[in-house]
Amino acid sequence: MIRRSLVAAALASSLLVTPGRAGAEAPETALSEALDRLAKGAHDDAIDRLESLADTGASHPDLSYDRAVAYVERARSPNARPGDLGRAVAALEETLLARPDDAEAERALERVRGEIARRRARAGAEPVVAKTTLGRAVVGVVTETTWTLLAAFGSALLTLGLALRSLSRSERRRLAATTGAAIGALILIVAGGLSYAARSYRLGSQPAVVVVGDARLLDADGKPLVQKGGIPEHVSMPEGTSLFVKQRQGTLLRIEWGSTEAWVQASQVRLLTRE
Amino acid sequence: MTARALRIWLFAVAALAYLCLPGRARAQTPVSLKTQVSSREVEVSEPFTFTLTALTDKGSSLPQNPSLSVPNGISVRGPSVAMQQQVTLQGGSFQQKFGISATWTLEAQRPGRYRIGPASVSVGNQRASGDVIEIQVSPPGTRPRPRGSDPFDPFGFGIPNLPGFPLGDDGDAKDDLPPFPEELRLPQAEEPIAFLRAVVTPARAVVGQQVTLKIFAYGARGPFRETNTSEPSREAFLAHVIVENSYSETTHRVPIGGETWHAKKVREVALFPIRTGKLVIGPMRMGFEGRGYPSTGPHRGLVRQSVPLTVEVVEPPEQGRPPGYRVGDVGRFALSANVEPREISAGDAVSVVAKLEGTGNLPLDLKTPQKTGVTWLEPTSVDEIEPRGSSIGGYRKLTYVVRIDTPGEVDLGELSLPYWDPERESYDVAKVPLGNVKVRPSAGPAPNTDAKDDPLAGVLAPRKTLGPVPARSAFLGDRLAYWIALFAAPLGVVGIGTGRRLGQRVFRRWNERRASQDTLAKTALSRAKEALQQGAHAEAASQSERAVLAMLEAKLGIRARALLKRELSARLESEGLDAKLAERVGELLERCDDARFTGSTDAEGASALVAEAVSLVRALGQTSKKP
Repeated sequence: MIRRSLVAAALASSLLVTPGRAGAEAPETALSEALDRLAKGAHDDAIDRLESLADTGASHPDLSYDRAVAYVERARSPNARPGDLGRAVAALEETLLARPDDAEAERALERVRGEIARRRARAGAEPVVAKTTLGRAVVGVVTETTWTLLAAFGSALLTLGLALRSLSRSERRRLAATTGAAIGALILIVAGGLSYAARSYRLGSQPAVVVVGDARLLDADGKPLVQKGGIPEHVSMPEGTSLFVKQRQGTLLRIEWGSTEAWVQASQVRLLTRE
Repeated sequence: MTARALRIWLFAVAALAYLCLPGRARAQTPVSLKTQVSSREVEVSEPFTFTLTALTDKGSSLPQNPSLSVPNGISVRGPSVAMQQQVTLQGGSFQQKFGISATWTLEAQRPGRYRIGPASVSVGNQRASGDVIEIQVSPPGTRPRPRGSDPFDPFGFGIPNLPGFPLGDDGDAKDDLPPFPEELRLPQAEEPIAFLRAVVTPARAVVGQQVTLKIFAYGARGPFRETNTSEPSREAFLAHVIVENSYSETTHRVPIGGETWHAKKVREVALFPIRTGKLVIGPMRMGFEGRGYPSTGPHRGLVRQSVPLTVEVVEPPEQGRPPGYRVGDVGRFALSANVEPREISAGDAVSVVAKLEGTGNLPLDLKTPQKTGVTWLEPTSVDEIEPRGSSIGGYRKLTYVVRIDTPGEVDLGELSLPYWDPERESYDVAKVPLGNVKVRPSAGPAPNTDAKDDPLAGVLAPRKTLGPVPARSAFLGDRLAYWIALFAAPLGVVGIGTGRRLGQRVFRRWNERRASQDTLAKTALSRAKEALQQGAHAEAASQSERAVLAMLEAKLGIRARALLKRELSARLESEGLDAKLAERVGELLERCDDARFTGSTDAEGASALVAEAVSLVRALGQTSKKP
């Protein structure tokens, strides 16, 4: 318990020294005020405070989680605004990016996404499923860190095998060393390649979430895509959809959504903070 | 006909009549249209405006795509389209309408009576048309002109600059020029005869801050009129026109570069940037019409164009930004409010009238306090916003209906508006407390707050403290050393193994070669000694020579047999052999040659020869090749 408190205090102090926050109130004070207003039903005020905190660079999975709470509460209130649930999804995704094992956030994300789907279905909209690309699917089987560690293991196995093969005079040992080296080489090539791909995906795109009812897919000139013969697969993305942003050009963002690549208005998606 | 048959017949007729009506009449979107012209009597080539204002109820489709039909003989430019909002009190409740006003600038090319219009707009899938207006066009110069503001040109025709003429612009008059606004002063003319000068202040602003565009026209050939104008483009700005045209502006005489020019302000527009970036204000084109200004075409006047301008727009700083600040709320504002009544029953509503006053970009709504059991409905707004000098300001009254469901003494909180004050370069918050409302318990049933249909009820509970975050180490893949180590380790092992094998092979071969030459030399010496004992002096000399040659090859890598005797010493020295030793080698080899070929060597000589060979082989064994 003491350890937990110390960690929390250390985190809070690390947030305090985040650049660009000089003069701003402490995150825990701001959080406390925001939650106080949320409890009184002042959703806008609570959201304003939590968003201001995020704007000043304070980044913490629990701040993102509370932002999601505020958006969900407003979505349930008479003051609901379009995109509230999408923003809640974005905040929960941000929580999970910083703390992947947050089971509560994961459950909440499922429920919010379920509610978005329910509301869409009630409005007569078809459910939308975007197939992810093979590359992202394979790379996403395990985390980037796992791929890098696997590649390192492959390299070590290959190195050891080659060394033993070189030093050993016994035929049996040489055979065992050769087999080990071959397996190591295979792991090195596959895991190394996937590690590199994961790194490229991470550095070449930023996760984001749709925060409007329907984000229209556009071409590079900003004109809406028109579906002809089932191509492209989709012409709009529903609220709460996760996607990747690859490029920014003025007010347009080039996005990758499943196997679809298109452009959208920047104001229709929220970019997620990784750190 | 029975009564029943009559009813059926009437119904059939009514149904038929309904079906025969055009779709437009059946399902008409309520749109209110208003048509106006700036003047119903104009002269040929005198510009006048035709405006159609189209408004629809809040929530309906906005009018768009305005078009105007004009008869032959009328030229048309435009339209320029501006957003409109109208609030009216109808039946005790406020009604809000939104829409556009489209303004066309027209010019008649010949006298006559013309029917202009109707102008139309599309609303949803339909088109709505305004009124037709008749215009009387007189021949040029037949109508009395509005009194010009130029004291030297009361009729507005323009007085050419005639040298010596007292009312023209000559050098003598320059000293007696009446005072003129400083903003018209210029050190030198930008173009000959006439030019337009556009100025924007400030050139760097924040989103929502007013920048003022002023355009001045200068003419060197006396008074002029504005004609054939095209307005500067300003897509990235909300615009509020302060000076709409130059007709009512005073013409001043201004000294520029030793000449007297006629100058006046032709436009002044308050612009509010709506996004960040380097925003461009396009050029304005205007024809200078008057005597002395050569026209570039019929009714075009002398056409001049201002230069495009750029305004750098940024967001106000994040530092110190109050919660709830919306980018674009810029100016200086004050808030006041009135709440009525102060005592109600639960479920009833109070009216909150908030008045926002000030200068700048007055926002359309305010940040309302929220509280459980208190519901703020969308406000209705009435405003009076107009130029105050070069600034835009006024007030906006927002009327909210606030329903309160919780009985007791309810504190309504405060209305607030965080804004950026560009003059003080700091944030401020205009706020007004609303006080308490006494809410009596309602006699009716309590509002239904059953949450069983709400799948999100209780899904997320707020986290009151910041928990631990897993330490995020840097990605290994971002380190170059990782990738180098990943492939360098196995490649290193392969490299070391190969190098080792290669080295071993070379060493072995070198050793073998070295060993063979050494052995050869030793064998030759043994044989030389044996031959000496047997009295075979020539053979002893031959074996001595072989021993020395083998040693030279072993130690210095020189195949001495292939060299001429005279070259040998120099070659041996060049390979690092001591000069004296090299000389001894040369001598021995010569003596050996003599002994072998002449056979004249005696036992003593042969013995000395073998002894010298043994000595040389030993000495050569201690030498090494020059690196």
